Amino acid sequence: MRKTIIIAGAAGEGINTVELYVEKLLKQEGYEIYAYKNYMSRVRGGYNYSTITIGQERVYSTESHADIFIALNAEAVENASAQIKADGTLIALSGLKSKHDFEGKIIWVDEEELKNITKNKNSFGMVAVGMIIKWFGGEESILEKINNKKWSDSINSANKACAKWGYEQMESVHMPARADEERIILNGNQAVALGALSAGLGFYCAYPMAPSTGIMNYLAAQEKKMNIVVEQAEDEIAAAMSAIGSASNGVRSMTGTSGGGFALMVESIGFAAVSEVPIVICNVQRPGPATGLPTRTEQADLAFVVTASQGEFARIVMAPRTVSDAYYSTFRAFNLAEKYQVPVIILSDQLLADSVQSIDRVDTSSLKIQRHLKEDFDPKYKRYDFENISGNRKYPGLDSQTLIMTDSHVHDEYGKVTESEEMTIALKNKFLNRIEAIKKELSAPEFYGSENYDTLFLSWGSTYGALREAVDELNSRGNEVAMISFTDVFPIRENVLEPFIRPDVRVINVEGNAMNQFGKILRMETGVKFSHSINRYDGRPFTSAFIAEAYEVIKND
Amino acid sequence: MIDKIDALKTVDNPFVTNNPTSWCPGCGNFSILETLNKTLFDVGLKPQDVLLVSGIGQAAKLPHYIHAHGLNTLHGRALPSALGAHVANVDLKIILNSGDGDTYGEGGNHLLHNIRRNIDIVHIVHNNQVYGLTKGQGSPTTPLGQVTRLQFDGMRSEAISPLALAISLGCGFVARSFSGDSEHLEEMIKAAMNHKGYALIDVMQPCVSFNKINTYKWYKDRAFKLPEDYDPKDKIKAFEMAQMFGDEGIPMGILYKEDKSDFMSRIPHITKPLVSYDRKPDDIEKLLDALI
Repeated sequence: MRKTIIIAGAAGEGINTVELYVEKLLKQEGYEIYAYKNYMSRVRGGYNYSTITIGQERVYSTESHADIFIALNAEAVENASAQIKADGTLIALSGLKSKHDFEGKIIWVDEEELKNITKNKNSFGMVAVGMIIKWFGGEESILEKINNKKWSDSINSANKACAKWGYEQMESVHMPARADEERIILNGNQAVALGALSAGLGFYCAYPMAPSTGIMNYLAAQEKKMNIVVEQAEDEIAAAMSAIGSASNGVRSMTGTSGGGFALMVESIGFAAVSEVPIVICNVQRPGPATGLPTRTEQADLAFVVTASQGEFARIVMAPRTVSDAYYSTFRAFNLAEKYQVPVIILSDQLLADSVQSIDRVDTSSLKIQRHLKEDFDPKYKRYDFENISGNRKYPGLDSQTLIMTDSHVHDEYGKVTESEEMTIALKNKFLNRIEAIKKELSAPEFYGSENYDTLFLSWGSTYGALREAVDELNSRGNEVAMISFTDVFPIRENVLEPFIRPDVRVINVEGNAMNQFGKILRMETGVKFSHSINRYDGRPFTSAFIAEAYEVIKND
Repeated sequence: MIDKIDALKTVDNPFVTNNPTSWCPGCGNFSILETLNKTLFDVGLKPQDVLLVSGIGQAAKLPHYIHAHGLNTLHGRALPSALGAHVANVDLKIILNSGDGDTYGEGGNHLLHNIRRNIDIVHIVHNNQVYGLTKGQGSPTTPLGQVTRLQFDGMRSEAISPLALAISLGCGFVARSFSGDSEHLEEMIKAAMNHKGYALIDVMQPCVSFNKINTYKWYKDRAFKLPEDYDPKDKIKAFEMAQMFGDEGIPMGILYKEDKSDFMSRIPHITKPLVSYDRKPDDIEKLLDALI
């Protein structure tokens, strides 16, 4: 069983605070959480909402309709009927009664009585927190955890009083929690940041850009605890080049941005590749081109990032599928970057970045930082040895004698500029060999669904969650469908689809873009064609209902 | 006798390489290279202590001609690369060589902000008031109206005054020198190396191939050394001197000097070279506890 709560209102009305307490308190009670923020690109006003799906079993994707809809203002009350399930409940302040056209159950919270408890702005949100806790059957005592060190004692006690008052007014559905392992709750941006910190990140340099800024914010808050340096660059060119400057001197370094900023980093990627400096770049996609939709989601930068920068060279592109995957893949990105001395791009998106998921506590003991360095002095050392596809790396100061030249030209094995045909070919061949080695090392896609499938969905990145739930839903309706989903999206092995493709299987490509970018990369690299596609490109995330419905249309076509 | 001692020093100088250069004969860059080689050795540094950073251009080839660590990056991008290198390892002495186009054109934004950061580097700008590598176009320091191989009717933009710009941004060490006066240049580089923070030396450096106006003679006839009683802490005077360039004379020396905290000293929680911190995957356990 699962229930979905939507908290809707304007920016600045306390949506995030309500969401934070609901997530944290219910997670601690043992529920599974998946929350997604739907917000406009503005600091105050507008119409924003957070959708929190709370389950007894793991939740993989967001939903569009609520069981409980908390309306924080008049506009939210007006919008409610489009976002509530038929048997759902609208909760709002009594003063907004005239605004609604919802025909289902409504709980009007008495505005005058609330004023007797507190006259604080946004206090209704805290009433809603109490109501939600009661609804799930939580003990009243857990409301004592409502405490924010940043707020005064009087505000904290008023908030608790509001929550308790709300608690008293609500009935309970009694959906007991199931999870008992130690769980943590975080979003995709935090998971990327934590993966980087686990991997030994020392320097993060970035320029603020939605929806990637959360990575920098989180890292900056940990700067002193983790002994790292987080620097806000003057532009994305500087961000990428500073990270390369630092990485070329032995510090694991990273930058993060969205598509527009990534466009400015393009020259740096080629530089990192030819100078063989390991660098990790996170592109948290938002809809483009140009300014696009700053706070919405899309998977439309893939074709760009796999070819970005002039010339031919090796790179790795990884698109984490879940919050947990964002942590482990970012960790792996640093090891791979350093092993092959290539740029590694983490292709996240606003859906992943801004979705909060309860996950198993990540297992740091299973991870090992692998630096692939050559620490001892070797008089015959060649920084750019053409025969060495991986490892053998040195940086200035690693041993007390070797001098290192890090260079952007076609160069010889010591980094000296050359225009010789022989060296030009040798350098290119090194990159080609490196690409082949990387292909062998990257992870295969994950299979999920019916073993007797007649339909196979192809997907990558954050589409995983909604598609997985759609596969479950479709199979429960008697279909025989399955999916494969990729985290490692580039480069692609020629035979990667062989275990999954059969002549009698319908192949449907599912992507959060209009042009089937990954489907076309797969076709180019493997020769496998998809016959149908399911695409979403309205800036909103896939839901399982959206995919299931689209599948039924294809099936009945 | 003195000549002989100097010759011996050069032979023993580990920074000196036999690498052939691709500069034109007579280029002003040669004396900057020689002076830098000599200065690095004189101050007692080893090649392993020094990281030469550059972008792209004739000046930016210099790291390939000195025996030390090198980081030869992209056009305009030497400064952000140097920032990263410096953050990674404060023990490396970073010398950045770049041309006027590289520094004041393509890399202009980085100049503004790294002066604000006050990163502890020596930045030597080989300013020949023309684009050399791309063969003779105007640069940000080419005067208004000056004819070039591209601007046939003369430059349509005014030249920037790089030293006035640096002073206005709060740069703590602002100097001008001349590739035709290696003794003065050496003095400036040594002073810059002793300065904690961003040290900018704009070096007048004739381009013998593409700038037929700002020649050795042109610079020599106009350059003068700042008087002994000149006070480099007087910002107003420095601003006035920085804007003096051309027939009215060109002042050489340390125009402005101000001691202030450098970038890394503003990050006091980093107490040793960043590269030397040990890091492990489970360092994040305490951060995970906060997510329960």
